[in-house]
Amino acid sequence: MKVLIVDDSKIVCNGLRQMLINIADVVVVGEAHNTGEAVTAITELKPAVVILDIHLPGPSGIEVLKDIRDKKLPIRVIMLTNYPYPQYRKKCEELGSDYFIDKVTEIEIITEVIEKLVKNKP
Amino acid sequence: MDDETKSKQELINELIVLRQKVAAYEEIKEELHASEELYRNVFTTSPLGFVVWDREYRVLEWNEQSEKMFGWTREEAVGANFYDLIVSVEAKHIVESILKDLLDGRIERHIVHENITKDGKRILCEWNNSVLRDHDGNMIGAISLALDVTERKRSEEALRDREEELVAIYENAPLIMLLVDKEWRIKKTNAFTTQLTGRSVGDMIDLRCGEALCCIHALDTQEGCGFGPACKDCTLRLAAIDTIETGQSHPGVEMSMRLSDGGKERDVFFLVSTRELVTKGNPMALVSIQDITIRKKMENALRESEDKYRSLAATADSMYLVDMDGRYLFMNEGHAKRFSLITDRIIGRTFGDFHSEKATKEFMDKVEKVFITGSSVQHEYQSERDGRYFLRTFSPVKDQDEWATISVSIVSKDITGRKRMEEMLESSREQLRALAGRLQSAREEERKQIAREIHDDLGSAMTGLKIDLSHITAGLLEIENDAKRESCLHEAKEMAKLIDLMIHTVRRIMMELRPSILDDFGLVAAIEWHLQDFQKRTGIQCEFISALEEIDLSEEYSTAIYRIVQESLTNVARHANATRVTVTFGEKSGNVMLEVRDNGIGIRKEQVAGSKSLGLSGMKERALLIGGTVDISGSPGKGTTVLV
Repeated sequence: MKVLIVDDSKIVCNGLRQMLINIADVVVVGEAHNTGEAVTAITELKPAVVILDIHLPGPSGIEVLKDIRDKKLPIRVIMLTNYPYPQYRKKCEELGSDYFIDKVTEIEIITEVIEKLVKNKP
Repeated sequence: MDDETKSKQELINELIVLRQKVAAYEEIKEELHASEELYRNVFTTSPLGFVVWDREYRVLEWNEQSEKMFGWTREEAVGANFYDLIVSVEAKHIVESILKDLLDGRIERHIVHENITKDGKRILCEWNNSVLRDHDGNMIGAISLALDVTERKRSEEALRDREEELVAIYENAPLIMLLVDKEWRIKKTNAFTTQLTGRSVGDMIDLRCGEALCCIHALDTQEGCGFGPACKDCTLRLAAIDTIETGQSHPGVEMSMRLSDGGKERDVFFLVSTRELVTKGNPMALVSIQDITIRKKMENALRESEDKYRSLAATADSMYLVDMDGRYLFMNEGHAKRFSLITDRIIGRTFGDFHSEKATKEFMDKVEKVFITGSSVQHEYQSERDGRYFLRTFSPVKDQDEWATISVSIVSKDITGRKRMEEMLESSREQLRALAGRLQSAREEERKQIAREIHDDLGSAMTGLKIDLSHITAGLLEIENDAKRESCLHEAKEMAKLIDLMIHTVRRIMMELRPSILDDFGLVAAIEWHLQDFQKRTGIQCEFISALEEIDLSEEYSTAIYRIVQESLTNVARHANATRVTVTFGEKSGNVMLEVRDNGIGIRKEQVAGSKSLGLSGMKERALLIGGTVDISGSPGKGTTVLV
């Protein structure tokens, strides 16, 4: 399963890679550090899962989510954020995100989630 | 000699007697002649017309004067019937009765009737008729003496007419007219005076002037008018007495007097004229008094107001008077200068003649308002001519009775200087406001920056920590020693908790500094979130009522309002002892309305006014920067309301 990580922080990206490295059938196909890169990467790399940070330099990560859903891409989107406020959660859910995870307090869940997704993926 | 001698002697005696007789006769003749001369002289030279006539009305004698008077010569007159000669048709019956009386023996004197001259001219003659008798006393005719009194009569009539005229004038004149003697007593007065004093003419005779007119000093002393201490300065008395003593007239002297009018005292102003009039050899003064009280009072009032007006007109920049059509009635120098026309060319013309339609309309609106309300009106305006600013004060000028407005006076004050300063002040205020705004924005930017940086950097770091920790935890699971494993796992868990705590703190600080929701979701969402958070933190029940889901405001405005909410809630938490807070947010007629109401102890006026708390003044400042106002009020039990 191809996973794309979108976050502007190198620490976070590396950290996530570390977390996912040991999961079977999961490949981190790329990193994007802003919205533009994300969209390009999605188009080119065609990941099945995108771990998406909300706060990116420039347009918000939510735009990427929108873009994905607008294009009706078969991608699972995991919103990962440092702003775990209800307003954001609500918005993401409305736009069709699959998960909304607090980047600090819930970071451990990521592995679980990815494993689940791998299992469910047809 | 008997007869002869006797007769000779007799003859001589007779001769002597005869001579004596002749002498006597001569004497008598002389006397007669003399007396005849005398009579003839009288007859001839008399200024009276002599007419002697007999019982048949035939003229016997006719003198020179008669010739002159009646035109008939002696030759023509003598023997003629005097009826035909000199009696006019109209006078016939008078003359008939006179003649009848005469012939009956009665003497008629001083009869005046019309006669007619030879030329047909009518004259008026006064006749003195007496009877002519012969030796025996029989009436043989009459002697009539005529005096041409035509002129005299005419003069008499003229005089009488004149007298009537004068009396009419005297009685009719609306003046007090008094004839006073040297003792200051009234000898004659007219009808008008009785009207004024209420006394009859008769009552006033012999009264002294002051008594008659009811002067308050009339009874100052026992002697009455003229003897009191105030009387020595009495203009009326002095003028009259001087006129009597010196014959000098004193026309048109103004004076004032105080009259006692049946208990009430009043001041009057008199215009007095005195003139000498000698009556029956006694010098008197004719005193005419015109009551000019009303005129004087009006003059004084007018002068007062004129003085006021003039001083006003002199000092005011521009002062002018218009009627209800905007016609200039008066203009002071200051204003005329602005027209650079001489006043004469402006008076009589209207405001509209010199100004634009727009300016005229505004001007006339104000004039109309003054006329209608009778009160003053003010407005500021800018002259179209030179751009200068003026403060115009429109004031009503009322009539005597202070009832109706008859014209409007306008005082125009040049306030250009003040206006310019105001403008400069305003502009510098604007600049200041803009600067403050920019500062504020800059601060906000800074905060935003700091918040994000801190948050993001720390956040990322903590994510990293957590991730590493999860690895470590995974590794720890492989510790075989149960106790050690449990202990280490526990430690790791604690560490994780700590990190979570840290991120909460960081997030809280960040949200306090600059909530991202404000930037990402807008003001309404931000307020909503803030309230939720506030409730969580403080336990105070929060209610958010918003008519709007979202509002399109600039960042500056949103931030300002958010900060105000923030500050208000902080105050509630700190001071109010409240359990509920309601925030109402809405829009009304283009304005944003925010209300923060709590149910606490209520803020006191002094606290608001004191504003030692930077928070309160900060709120006000923020509101001001975005052109709003903050109204803070509170009452115990009802809590505090912050109204923006």
